Amino acid sequence: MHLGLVRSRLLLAFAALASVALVAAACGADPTATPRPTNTPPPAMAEATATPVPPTPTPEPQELKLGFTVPLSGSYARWGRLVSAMQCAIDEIHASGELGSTTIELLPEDSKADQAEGVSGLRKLATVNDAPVIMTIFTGIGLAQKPVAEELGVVLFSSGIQNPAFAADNPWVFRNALNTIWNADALVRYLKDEANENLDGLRYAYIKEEGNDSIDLQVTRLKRLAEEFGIDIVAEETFQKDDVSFDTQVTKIRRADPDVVQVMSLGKEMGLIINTMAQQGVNPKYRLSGGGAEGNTELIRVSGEAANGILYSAPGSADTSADPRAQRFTECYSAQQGGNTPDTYDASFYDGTLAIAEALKMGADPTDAVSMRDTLAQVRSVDGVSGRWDYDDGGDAWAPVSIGQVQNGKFVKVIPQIEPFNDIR
Amino acid sequence: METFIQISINALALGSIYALLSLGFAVIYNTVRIFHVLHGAAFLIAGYATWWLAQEQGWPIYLAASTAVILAGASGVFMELAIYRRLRVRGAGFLVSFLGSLAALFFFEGLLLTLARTATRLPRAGGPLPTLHLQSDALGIDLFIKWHSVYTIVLVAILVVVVTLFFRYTKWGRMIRAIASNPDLAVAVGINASSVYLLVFVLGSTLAGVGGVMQTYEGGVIPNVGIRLAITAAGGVIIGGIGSMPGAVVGGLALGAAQTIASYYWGGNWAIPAGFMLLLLVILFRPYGLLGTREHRELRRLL
Repeated sequence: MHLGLVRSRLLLAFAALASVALVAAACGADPTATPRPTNTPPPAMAEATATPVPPTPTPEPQELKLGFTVPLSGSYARWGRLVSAMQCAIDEIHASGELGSTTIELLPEDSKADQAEGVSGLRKLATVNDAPVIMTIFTGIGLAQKPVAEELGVVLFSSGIQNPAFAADNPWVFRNALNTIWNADALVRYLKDEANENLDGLRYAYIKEEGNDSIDLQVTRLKRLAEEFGIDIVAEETFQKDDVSFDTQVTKIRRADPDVVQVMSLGKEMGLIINTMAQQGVNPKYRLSGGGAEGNTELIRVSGEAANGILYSAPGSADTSADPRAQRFTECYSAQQGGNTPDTYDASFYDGTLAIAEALKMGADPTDAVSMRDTLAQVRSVDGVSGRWDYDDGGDAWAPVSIGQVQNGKFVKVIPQIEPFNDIR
Repeated sequence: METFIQISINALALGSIYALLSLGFAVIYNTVRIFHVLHGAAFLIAGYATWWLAQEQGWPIYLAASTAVILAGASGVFMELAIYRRLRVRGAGFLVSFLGSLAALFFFEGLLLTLARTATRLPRAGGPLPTLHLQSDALGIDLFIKWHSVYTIVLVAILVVVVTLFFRYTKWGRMIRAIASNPDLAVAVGINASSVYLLVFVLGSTLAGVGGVMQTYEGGVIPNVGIRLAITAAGGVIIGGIGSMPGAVVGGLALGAAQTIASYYWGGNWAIPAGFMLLLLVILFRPYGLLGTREHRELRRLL
């Protein structure tokens, strides 16, 4: 066979394969190709006054088809556990009889943590399954779904998207979640007020997953706080989702000799990074994580005891351990999740489901998206398993932020609620 | 100086895995002339087998790893008999073989996703690997070197020597070279091409399997990296020089070095683009590869 033909064929095949890989990588990229919102604290919550909806004729026994675009496969498949949380809420709602003969059917759709898949899933749920309300998670996906939800005239709800822009300026979008920038606030507040560190000159390093909007917002906020308090950011490293080697980035961090290292990852890379830090003798005074540690069983599995001591921020909650409903939620969830107990994200999605059910209790037509939208806009407060959620005029209910720590392989809340820096914009 | 040494070790460790992948790919491609995308599957089979045997079945890690490599090699038999031989018999051309390989890889990854899910599978207890701490104030060094990196570099070096000697001094090695050089003539003189093809797939897949075991032990294995592995392997072959075994090794090492250096100076997100940039530069300015020459290519396909 002629040499030139051999080489040209190999190059042609390589080009074709690289094209396939580029498409696959683009499709599998973290869903974040969105304009950044302004970095402002959330609006003040409206007073918790319920405005009764004028009674509407009660329809025949009906069913609310509640769609849910969530990763059930891929790098973020662990978030599929949220289906169990929502199903437990639905089971509780049905058992209470508060909806009468109306029922809720949960319809999960695999988003693969991908924007295109998430939008496709939303379209399917809205047009094929006739779901008037669709739950979702992840900033990039939610922001991509937002205009599509409006176009299709369906309600988009999230109990996990932390980007402040998600529910803004769109009557079809609702949310109960933590504001992502508060992750940065919580960690800095912890260092300042709980650990009593002198922030001026504190050497701070981070390594972050590239192309993640939520993480980028945290970084922006961190830099603002660094400017305010004199924190010295000595290393800023990045990695791609599904990377397996972090030696070089950690080498640079080690050279910077930081007091604090923050690992910003929502996926399974965190455990490998923690291992690499230990292997290279990177042992700062504080190892932090914002938003991606709690419930990250991969972190524990991959890094073992090396994960102990990591401090992380997460949605806060009130102490509802004595609440029988919270206890039933824990039992229900554990039964479905192999003994694992629900974390604050699970509780948030449980409570988000309660908010949707609240709209049904107030007389919304479960088959009419406009009715669901308008009634949801009337919901002012919901007492959930993670505490009380107060919804503002924009459809947002903000969770408090907490600090947790990995202790003996468990995720332990050490500060249930910690104040963000609302006076710093 | 210390940083240079640390980065060099990082690059060598990463490049060694790439070199193994590229060498295995080159063994197959140089002989069979198939763009063997399924090469990544051998890597994954070894990784998952190591995890399953060591963690789920409780086997000692060396036994699990050895068995996993054997299984990876055996998968080469399956690939050749079940896929490529059938395509050859039907007269499939280069492109159809490539597409068939691609389809098989996607199917395999889908199967892995279903069976093993996406959790990182680690064949050992979680935690950092043991490291060697070299510290000397006099020399101004304070290095942390993973023993696993040392083992990987040494093992790959040994394998490269073994493969080189195999092709140069053994009967089967000469037969493979003959088929690679001129299949028609080789068959005419009595060399069984089918047996040779089977052997190269076993050999290439075994090499990929060793890479899979080493990487899995350190960082675990996930199912959806087959394409990335195939591109890495092919990239190393092209960079090093198509038809050159040493070239495949050099190409893999060069890829590892490029990614490590880019990651250090520009950030981790530049690692993959840097690898492609190196590939592009080689294709533009030295299309025969770093170790390939026009004479080399026309006179000697292997070694």
